[in-house]
Amino acid sequence: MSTPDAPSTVTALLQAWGAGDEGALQRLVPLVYAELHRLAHRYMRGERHAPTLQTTALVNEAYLHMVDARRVRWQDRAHFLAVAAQMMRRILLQAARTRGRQKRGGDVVRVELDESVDAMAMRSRELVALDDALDALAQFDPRKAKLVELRFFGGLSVEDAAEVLKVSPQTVLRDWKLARAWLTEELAR
Amino acid sequence: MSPERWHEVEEIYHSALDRPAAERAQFVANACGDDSGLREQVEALIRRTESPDSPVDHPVWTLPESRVLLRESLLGPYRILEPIGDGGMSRVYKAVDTRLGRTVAIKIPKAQFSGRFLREARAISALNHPHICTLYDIGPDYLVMEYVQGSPLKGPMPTERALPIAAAIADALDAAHRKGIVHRDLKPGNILLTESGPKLLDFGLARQTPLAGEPAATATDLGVIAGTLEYMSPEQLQGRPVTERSDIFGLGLVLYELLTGSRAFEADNSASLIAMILTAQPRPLRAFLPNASPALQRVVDRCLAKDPDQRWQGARDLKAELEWIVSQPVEAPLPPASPPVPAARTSRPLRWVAAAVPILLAALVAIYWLRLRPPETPTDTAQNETGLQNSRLTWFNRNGAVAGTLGEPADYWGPALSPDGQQVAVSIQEADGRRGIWLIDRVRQTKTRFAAEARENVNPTWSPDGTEIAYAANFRGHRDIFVRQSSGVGPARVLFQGDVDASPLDWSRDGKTLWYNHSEPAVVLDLWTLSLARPLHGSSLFLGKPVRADWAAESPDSRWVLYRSNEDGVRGIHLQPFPPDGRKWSVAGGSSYQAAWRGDGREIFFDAGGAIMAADFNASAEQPLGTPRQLFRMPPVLVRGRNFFVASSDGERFLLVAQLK
Repeated sequence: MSTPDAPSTVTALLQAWGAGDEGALQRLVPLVYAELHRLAHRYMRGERHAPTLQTTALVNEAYLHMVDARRVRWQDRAHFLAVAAQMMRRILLQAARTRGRQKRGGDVVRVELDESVDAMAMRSRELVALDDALDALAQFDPRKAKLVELRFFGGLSVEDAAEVLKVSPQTVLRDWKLARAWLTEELAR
Repeated sequence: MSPERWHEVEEIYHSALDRPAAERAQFVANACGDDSGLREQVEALIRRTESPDSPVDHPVWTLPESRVLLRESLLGPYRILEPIGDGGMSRVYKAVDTRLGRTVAIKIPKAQFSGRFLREARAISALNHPHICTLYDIGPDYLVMEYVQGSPLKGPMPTERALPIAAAIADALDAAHRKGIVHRDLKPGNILLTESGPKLLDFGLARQTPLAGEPAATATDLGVIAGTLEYMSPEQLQGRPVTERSDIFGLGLVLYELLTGSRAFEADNSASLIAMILTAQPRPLRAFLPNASPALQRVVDRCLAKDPDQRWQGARDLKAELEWIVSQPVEAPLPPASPPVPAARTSRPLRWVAAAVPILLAALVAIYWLRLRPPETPTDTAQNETGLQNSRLTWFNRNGAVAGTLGEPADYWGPALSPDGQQVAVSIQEADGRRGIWLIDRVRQTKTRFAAEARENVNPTWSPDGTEIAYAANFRGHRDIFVRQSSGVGPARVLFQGDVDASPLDWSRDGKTLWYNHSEPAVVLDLWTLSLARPLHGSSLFLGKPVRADWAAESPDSRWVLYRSNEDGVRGIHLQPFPPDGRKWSVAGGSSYQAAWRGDGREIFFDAGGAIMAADFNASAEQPLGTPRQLFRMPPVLVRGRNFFVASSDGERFLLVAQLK
């Protein structure tokens, strides 16, 4: 959960991370995770008639809530989004896997995000398959796997993804085309 | 997969996608060589790239349902009544404009509007035509349109019903084109049939994909394209500009489908479909409608020409033609001997030889042709496209009587008769000095340019089935051998490239061998055979002696060859079994240039002493050649080169390049 001093903390951590302090990332992750979790719940519970619910909106809201935008460079924002994408992946996958277990009649675990999983465009099993495919892709092409994570789970734009991956937007588009084709093929098997 | 292997896949994949769709399959096959696993992988990836659906196309939490508008909810001043359609790109609702009490259709695109799109939408809202669905209003992320009650167009339907519908669509296109608006996505699904005729929907709305310079919202543009592939024009598939003539192509597809109930282009996968749209001719209308008139076939052909320049140049002309056909009570069909030629062959003025077919029929066809010519095409004459007029293609009977001429006077070289005898491919010197290859239709006397890319395009050589023509073209200071579909569609392929001149001579009847001549330092000029099963790899030398051999013709049964060489110290025409078995006969001496086989292989013809000679041929006889006899003395000919005379398949007529004084 966010605390009153979260914006300054997160902002400072982002700046430190941007300056090369990897330890800052370690402390950033749980904060972002908690905030996204909270927001996701809120979205799913009360605002079904929101015009569109997009990961982008969720992540952006978390960003606005946690980061003092006046004090960070846009590049830092992209890096925040990248962390958020990774967190989204983790949150959603955890929910999807747990739900899968429940359905198979295993230990009943209270799933915090089951409502959101219900509402997701993709069913749990497919999401788990995609996660596995991404892990496989990361074995021989980590950059493309990261790109899919950024765009699919974080809703990052081409430009944001280019900043995070330190490549040109053209390269992002080329990578995306191939990664998309590979995943489509892999998931169709 | 290892990163190295993946790197290999990636390189070939991107290189293939950088090429035009039609060339990809060949490129991938070449790049992967014998590695079939690699090839399958790359092919699968390319297929998936074209696939409209991928699980990663939308970020994980984008909920399509969230865009559903509930009944009675308000969107600006519009009250939603009910959903009436859900297309791939948008969702449509029936709604009421609460200010006017008017029923409208509201369309909510799934993609965001671009600035360019909004500008165009404003232009579209100015369109007011009885056959175009009116655009009333543009909201921040929706469009408000005329509510049209009707059913999507569907074929087959009777011709007399289909033609007025097509004419009404042409009229609507004409109105839009005059305002600079192109529909871009004409297809039966975009046309509703109402009580008062057809209504075109979605005018100009197809371009929702990011334009050059605008960032791609999602990388699914390819997917969007794949969705409507069946109705794309060749230029759209090739990424070339979409113009009014793309709509003409679209109308051709619609008309075809209305008449036949079938799609003009249909295939199992997008690669084949693209290839078809780029190169194939749809099945003729007569395959579905035995009574389809040639005029109707031509209208469709002309809409569906691959080259936009060969299509109807304006929707208004097309409409006039459709109305004219409707007004014709009875149409005399052309005889089966002269099937309709592709539309690309029409843009020359008609010159008719009445002797060829009954005069009545000739007049009828002439009327079709003159009407079908686009009025705004400048009237080309032979004078401004050909250079010297020093010869004429002239037919002679066996007794030497002139039996007709073909085309107008020009500087002709080396004519070649198509296997069905309908067309002559011949090299003509053009006004700018280059030599182009032209196809002359014998019955219609029309002339179409086949190849003129190089400075010299000469020695056309028909494939036995008539679908391809090999020829020599001089791009690099000497002649190399190329091949291309005789319809003129598609690119030319290299068959043979060397460092000095190479020229095709004969394409064997079994399709396996192309004879050509080519110099090598050791052999001066020799005959070679190119195995067409594996071009570029299967050339073999025929004589292999330091002699000059420059011409050859294989027998119709592909077991003999007539050729010219100076292997015995004097130049002359020789006969050998093929492949050679050591036997050899001399046919004619030094003054003779070439010989030809009759279609049944029972007689040969050759030139000797200024005359055309004939000799019987009997493969089983010890002496296969009979005693030569003179048929007729030749008129002065321009050049005594390859194919300076050509024999008809029945051996009754001879086409010569007769010199004009």
